[in-house]
Amino acid sequence: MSNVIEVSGLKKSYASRRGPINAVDGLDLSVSSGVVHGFLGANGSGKTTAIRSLVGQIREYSGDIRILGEQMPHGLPKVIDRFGALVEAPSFFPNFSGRRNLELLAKSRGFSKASVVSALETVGLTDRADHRFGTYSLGMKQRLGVAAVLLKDPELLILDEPANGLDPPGIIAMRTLFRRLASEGRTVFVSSHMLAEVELSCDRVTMVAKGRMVQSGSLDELRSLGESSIEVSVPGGIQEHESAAEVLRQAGFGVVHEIEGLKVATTSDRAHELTKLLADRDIYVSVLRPVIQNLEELFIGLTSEEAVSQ
Amino acid sequence: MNLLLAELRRLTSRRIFKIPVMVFFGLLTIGLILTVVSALFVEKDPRSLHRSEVPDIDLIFAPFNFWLALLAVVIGSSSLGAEFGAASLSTQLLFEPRRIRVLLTKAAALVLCYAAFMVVFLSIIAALNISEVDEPGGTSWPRVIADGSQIVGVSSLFALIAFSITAFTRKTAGAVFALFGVFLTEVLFLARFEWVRPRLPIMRLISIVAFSSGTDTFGESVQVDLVAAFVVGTIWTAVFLGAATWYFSKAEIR
Repeated sequence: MSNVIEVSGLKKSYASRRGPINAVDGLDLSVSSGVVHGFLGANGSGKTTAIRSLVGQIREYSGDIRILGEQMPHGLPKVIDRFGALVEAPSFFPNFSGRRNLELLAKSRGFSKASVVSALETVGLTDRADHRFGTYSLGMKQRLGVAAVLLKDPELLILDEPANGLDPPGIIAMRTLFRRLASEGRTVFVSSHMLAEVELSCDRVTMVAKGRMVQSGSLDELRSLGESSIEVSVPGGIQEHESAAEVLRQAGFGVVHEIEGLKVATTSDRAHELTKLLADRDIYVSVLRPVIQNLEELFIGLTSEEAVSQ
Repeated sequence: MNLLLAELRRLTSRRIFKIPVMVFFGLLTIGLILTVVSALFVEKDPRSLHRSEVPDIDLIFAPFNFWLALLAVVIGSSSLGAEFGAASLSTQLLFEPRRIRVLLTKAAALVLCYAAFMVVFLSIIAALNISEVDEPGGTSWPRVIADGSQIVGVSSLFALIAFSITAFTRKTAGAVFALFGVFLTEVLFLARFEWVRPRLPIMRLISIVAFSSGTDTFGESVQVDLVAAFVVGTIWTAVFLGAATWYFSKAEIR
């Protein structure tokens, strides 16, 4: 898989009375084609600034950005029809209808009116297309923003918090749309602070904190990072579990008693050692499973003040 | 071309353009009705009018031209200010990232729309006034056309300057107040100095647009070299537009 987005050492700072603020501080990022790639970070972590630099809204930064192989921002005109972007809140003329807003954008690039109709249908806005944009709810505005992105029939979609303001059916529809687009071979790069949503819709994730990448990989790879213990149960009651705990402690494992059994501080690649140790003492394991942090716990751990400052 | 057509459509669909057009043509319609009504009740022998009674060209446009210049400033600045306000520019730049092209196309669309509106408006004003006399045409029409073009040209420069300032201020009010600040500084302060007055760019432009016979705001007759004034005005406009384009090509657009 080739990379459709490549960022290295991206830095962007803003002047303030208290000195420069590093909104993005040496961000590295690679996004492969044909996947839904989540860009996860807390508010103020630099996601939007990074995305605005990617799409050319910010032109003065240091570092290297390549989109679809073209260096930004100079190569932007060459690839502008191949990617679509939605940055922050969708911005259109409030007194024009949704359809008119899209038609004007389509006309400026010579796209047909059919592309407008198709984009509106895809996001389910056909019924309200002729109403003024200013009367739209936040969710409808968001959907119109996505429709504008789809006008270009892009191979890469860059979306900044697209689920903002959407109701649950809207979020599900958006998630389904992303999966469908990825299955068609397109790449969806989507920033979010909604961990559950990223977990449900993305193949790969890059986590950012304080303008820096703190971790990147597939969801499975990230989950394996969060694996910190193994749950062990043996047949019998408290006595049997206490015996098993003693055996493991003697072998140097940290063991904690829990309601369901024992929690052993180790990773799954040492699971066979545990079973052998216990079996050698005629204690047979009935349950053995890795305890994996969910993405939320992992994210909080990785983006904590101490973790980022290390 | 697609971009220019889209810009023209965008601009002519906007309230900032529609409302002044409706107001101006509404006033014209009322004026026309009043003229017709008065003509029905007041009989006038056309032969009693002599060429000396043909309305003075200055009187034809004088009530309007200052307001047209003001309108130019408001339309010029709000045409871009509203786009910054709605943040629609950021969306547009995701479709056409060549910023210089975008800004200059917007400027071209503004001048085309504004000039077209002006030409129609001034033509109607002139036709209404000249048709009141027995001898239409004659030597008056060339002067009407010359003066009309003068007003259209200069007020378009005002619109462009206001448009350019808005690229910096990003707000309509900011550009309008900046221009009025310069205007008031020149009129109320700098123009008091005899040797400075003829050299003030805004005064020159105002003199042309507001007083087509070359009478300045103090009611004194001044010689205005039209060609020189247009050249100066065009240079000023080019400087403002150039600076705006440079800034716009670098700036962070939200």
